Amino acid sequence: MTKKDTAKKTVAKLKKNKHYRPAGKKREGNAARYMTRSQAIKQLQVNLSVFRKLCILKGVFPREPKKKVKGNNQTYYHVKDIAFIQHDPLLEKLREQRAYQKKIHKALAKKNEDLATRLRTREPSYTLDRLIRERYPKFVDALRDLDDCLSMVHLFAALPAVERLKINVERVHSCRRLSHEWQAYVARCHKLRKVFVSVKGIYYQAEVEGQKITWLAPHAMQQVLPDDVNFSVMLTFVEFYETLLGFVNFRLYHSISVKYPPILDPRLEALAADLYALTRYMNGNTKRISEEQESGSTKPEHTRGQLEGAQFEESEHQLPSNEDRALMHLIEEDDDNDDDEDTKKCKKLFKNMKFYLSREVPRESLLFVIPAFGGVVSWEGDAAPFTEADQSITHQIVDRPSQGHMYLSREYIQPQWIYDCINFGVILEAHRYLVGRVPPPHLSPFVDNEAEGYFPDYAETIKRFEAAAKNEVLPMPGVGKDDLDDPQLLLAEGYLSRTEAIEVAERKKERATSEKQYLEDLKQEVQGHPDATASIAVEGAQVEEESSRPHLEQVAEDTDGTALMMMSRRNRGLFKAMKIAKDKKKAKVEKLKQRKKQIAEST
Amino acid sequence: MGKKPKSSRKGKKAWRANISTDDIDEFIEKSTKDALTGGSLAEVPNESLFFVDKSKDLSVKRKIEKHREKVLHCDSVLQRNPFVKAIPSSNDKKKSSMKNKKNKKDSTEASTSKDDATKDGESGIVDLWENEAEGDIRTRKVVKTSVIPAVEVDPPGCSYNPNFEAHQDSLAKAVAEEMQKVYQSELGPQPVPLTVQGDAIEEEEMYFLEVDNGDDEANEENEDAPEKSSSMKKMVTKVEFNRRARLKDRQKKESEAKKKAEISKEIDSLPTIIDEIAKEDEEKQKRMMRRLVAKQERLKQQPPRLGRHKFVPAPTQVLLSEEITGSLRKLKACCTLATDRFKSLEKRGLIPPSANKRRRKYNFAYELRFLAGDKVLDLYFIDDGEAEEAAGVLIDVRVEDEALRKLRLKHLEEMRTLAAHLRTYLRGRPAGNVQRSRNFCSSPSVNRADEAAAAMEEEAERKIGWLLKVIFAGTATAIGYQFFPYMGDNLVLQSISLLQVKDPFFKRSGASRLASYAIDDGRRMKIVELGGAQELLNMLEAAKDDRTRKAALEALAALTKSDKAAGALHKAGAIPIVQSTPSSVEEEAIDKYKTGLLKRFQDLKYDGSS
Repeated sequence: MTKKDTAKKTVAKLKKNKHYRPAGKKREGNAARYMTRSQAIKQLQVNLSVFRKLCILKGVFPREPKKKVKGNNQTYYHVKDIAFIQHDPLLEKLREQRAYQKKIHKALAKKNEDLATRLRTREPSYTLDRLIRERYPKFVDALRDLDDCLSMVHLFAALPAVERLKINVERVHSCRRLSHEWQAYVARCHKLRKVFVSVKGIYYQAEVEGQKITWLAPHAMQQVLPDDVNFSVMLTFVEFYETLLGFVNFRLYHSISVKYPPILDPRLEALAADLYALTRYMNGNTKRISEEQESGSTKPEHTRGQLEGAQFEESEHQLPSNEDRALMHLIEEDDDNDDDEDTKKCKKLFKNMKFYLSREVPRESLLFVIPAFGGVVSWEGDAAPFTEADQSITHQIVDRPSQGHMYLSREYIQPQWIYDCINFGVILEAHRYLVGRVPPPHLSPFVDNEAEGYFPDYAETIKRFEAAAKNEVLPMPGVGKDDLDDPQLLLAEGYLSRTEAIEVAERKKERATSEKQYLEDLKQEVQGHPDATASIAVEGAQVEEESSRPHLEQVAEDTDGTALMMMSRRNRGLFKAMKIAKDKKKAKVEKLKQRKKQIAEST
Repeated sequence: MGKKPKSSRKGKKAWRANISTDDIDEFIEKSTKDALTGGSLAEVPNESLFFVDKSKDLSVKRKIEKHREKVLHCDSVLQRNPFVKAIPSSNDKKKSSMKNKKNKKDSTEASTSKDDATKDGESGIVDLWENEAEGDIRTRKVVKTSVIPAVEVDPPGCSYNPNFEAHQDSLAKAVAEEMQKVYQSELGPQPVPLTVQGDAIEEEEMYFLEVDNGDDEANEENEDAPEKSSSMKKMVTKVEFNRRARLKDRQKKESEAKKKAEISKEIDSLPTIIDEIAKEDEEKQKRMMRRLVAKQERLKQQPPRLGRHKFVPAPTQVLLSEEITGSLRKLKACCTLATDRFKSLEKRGLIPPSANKRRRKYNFAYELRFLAGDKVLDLYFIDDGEAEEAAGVLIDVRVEDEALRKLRLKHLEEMRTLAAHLRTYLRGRPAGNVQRSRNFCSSPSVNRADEAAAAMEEEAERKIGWLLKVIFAGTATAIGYQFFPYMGDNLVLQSISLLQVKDPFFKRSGASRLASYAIDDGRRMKIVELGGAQELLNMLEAAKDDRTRKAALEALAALTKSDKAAGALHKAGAIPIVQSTPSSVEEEAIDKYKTGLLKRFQDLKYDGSS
């Protein structure tokens, strides 16, 4: 009897417990939440390469569970991520493709060439539009994630097409086109902010719709394809990024009312002057559209299905007749009412300057950079807008030990001058960059000297130069040093150096105390006291002033402590990590300074 | 219950028993029940069974109505005022969004069908984010895989024309990375040897050995066993039994008392225990914090372990001090940007790190021979004199190859790490190779490698010091050795500096290098001018084994072929040193060289006494 009862009880208990699993088959926590790659492949019923592709396209990445149930050597994915892939129509599409490929193989194996070619014409394909919409629900999201995309596209634009690695010519060309389209937009809207030439390549930073976008473009030289890189993975990434950049470009072009995709002059395209062709296209297009808007007669939209010949005809119609004017037009635009401060500044940097690039300088980069800052540029080549003999050229960029024939009307400078001017935001003196000289160091604009607390020598000289230039341009009339509350002046002073900023603060404090003293005096006068107590009051004020400083520090410390107490344990840890990082930075700066001192002593 | 007696299943009785009468019984039961209750319910019409409840159940009604149209108080207040337009409440939105969703589904379906129609060639010609303002986009929570940015900007020292201090910083970092690799391979665990020293044991013998051992153990067990069993069998007397019981009792009591005392003691020391616990807790907390901080720091540098392989960062791309020209045209840029991007993907944890593919077993001798083969190919490009030199190198390589084979393992290991180090260095920057193909005819392509080696040496000297200098000298010679025919001043200097190293191996290689370099008078004099003669003599004097002496003598013999050089050697006091070298039985060459040298000195009328 009793045995039966207990058995019943346990059965009841089991029924009550929803998640019961027999002993030894327990799947809870990490074991239930994560699965290994092979499990995932089994679940999705695809092969490894398709799985990799799916993961990249869907944005599913491996995770590191706290407990690795299947061992340390496995790659884990979240179960929900895999379910997410499983519900995507792309999975079915890829399976279909694979089945279709088998059909083709079969036809080929049976020597049925006709069938194979027929099958090839109707291969199933897929688009990634939906995936992009899914991964980047807003345009800003897409912009935020554009760094990697741009670097990858720029890289593939410079790679050689290798059949063995399945890097085909179309891919390289489309990457090239996309990168040029992006550059043309950035240059047209003057969105470029920083350029840094490093050994690896050239870093650019643009600011589009408030997002800082950094990318790395390779130097103009042959890239090698190293064998430790898995190019099938890279190609999948590029495939996704190409589509993404296409959409982004579309949106950006339409935001400045330029048609996309652009139609380029075939002659310029053949001469590999894509970027120039694009700028011309953009200028022509915007001008035409604005004209149309003014006249109020809008042409009916041409569909894409139009004949090629008609398109070219149209494009030629769009292109302005005078090339030089097209370039000058860039600067003459006066639609800067919606531009922010930086853009305005960038637009004006190389205003009224005309550049000519010699054969040996990196053309691609400079053709992108100079127009982005409002300059006009030409190069040595067939389709160039103006030749070397043009008298209006103000700067010629050369990179050779000596220049044979020299025009007196222009300066011969090295390409670094352009980059440095851009980074410092001023036109630097050209004499240090003249032909045949070793230029001053090329400093990285990505280092925040203010935050780092350390200024390289050249940065300091430039800063002084900059400050001097500012004084020249806007000497502040009638502003005495006493007017300390003027924010602009404060800024300018703080700009020069830290120590001076401190001095300014101290002066301000002094002024505050004197003010206080004055008020107190007034009060006393009002109360009817003679000025016998004035001296005492002054002393009191001083004492107060002295005591206030440590007191403030104490308060700050206290608040820090309480904040620390209030934080969660995790946050506290992070806070400490931050502190440690800060200390490290400080130590580094100290080290740098010390080293500098040593060098100075030794020489 | 006992078992039923089995009966035959044949016969009428058994057959009857198998007919079921359940349905009949059931029907009878039902009909009687109906008769008793007044008819079955199935036959009764609906009206008589159900009725509409028209009485008012207020609470239920209120509930239903409340759900039917829920107007928030705020809305109702606003509705009363004609000038204020009510903002639709969140509830309404939800409903409408549900509707929208349905619409959207339809539209997306339509759009996908359209997409299919328009093939992938034309994707990118619509505004994907046209209606993003509607705000009805179901988004998946995106998990940020890592805190590392997609494009990490190089430190300022990696600029093509860097600031001096920043460059030193970056360079130091790069050197430290390389050295760490070297040290790791040096200090790491020794690989398990493939063979073990000692005599081989034949299979049969092994079998016998095992048998013997087994026998011994079995015997011992057999001996022990009878004793135990006999003791177990002993009878226990009553007295003994009682005694044991008492003992047990006493022990129990004692232990209890002890426990009590202990507990009371612990109670007394409660405050200290509490303190201890608090301290422990604090320590735990601290440890956890430290771990957390360390993990955060680590995640800034590298991804978590995502697969079988560990993430290996790419080497820093920084110019050497010699390579900084300040000209973009002459920049030796990195041409493996694909690696950089791939490593970035791995670093951000987007793909699990892959195995390092270069794992070919390295054979130094093979590499040397291979390079020598390369030289043979290059012979087509150089003139006769240089061809002769190259041939000399080939011979030299063969000799060196054998010597290497005989060398102790330690040396081989050293050379191997050096060579590996060098290889990674050269591979990491194949820019040189690209350039090399470009200007092959104009400049001696190989000098680049020499320069690189020299530059590395210099950098290292600046950074780390003497120990490194030795190692880098080795590296430099390894390179210089490979590109022997193009050897210039730089390498003569290095060969001479090799003579100064303590290790006889380096000395020998330096001497043999000098010997093969000295083929005409100018070169011989160069060696002498750079102080090679004195060093060689020093080496000969200090040499402790025959092979070193032989190498030194060989080099000296090569030098004395020039009259001037012989004069210089004489001035340096060569004759007594040569005379004092002991002749050896194994190496006949020593005697030959010795006599040859002395004869040469006599020919030139240099006296032993003077």
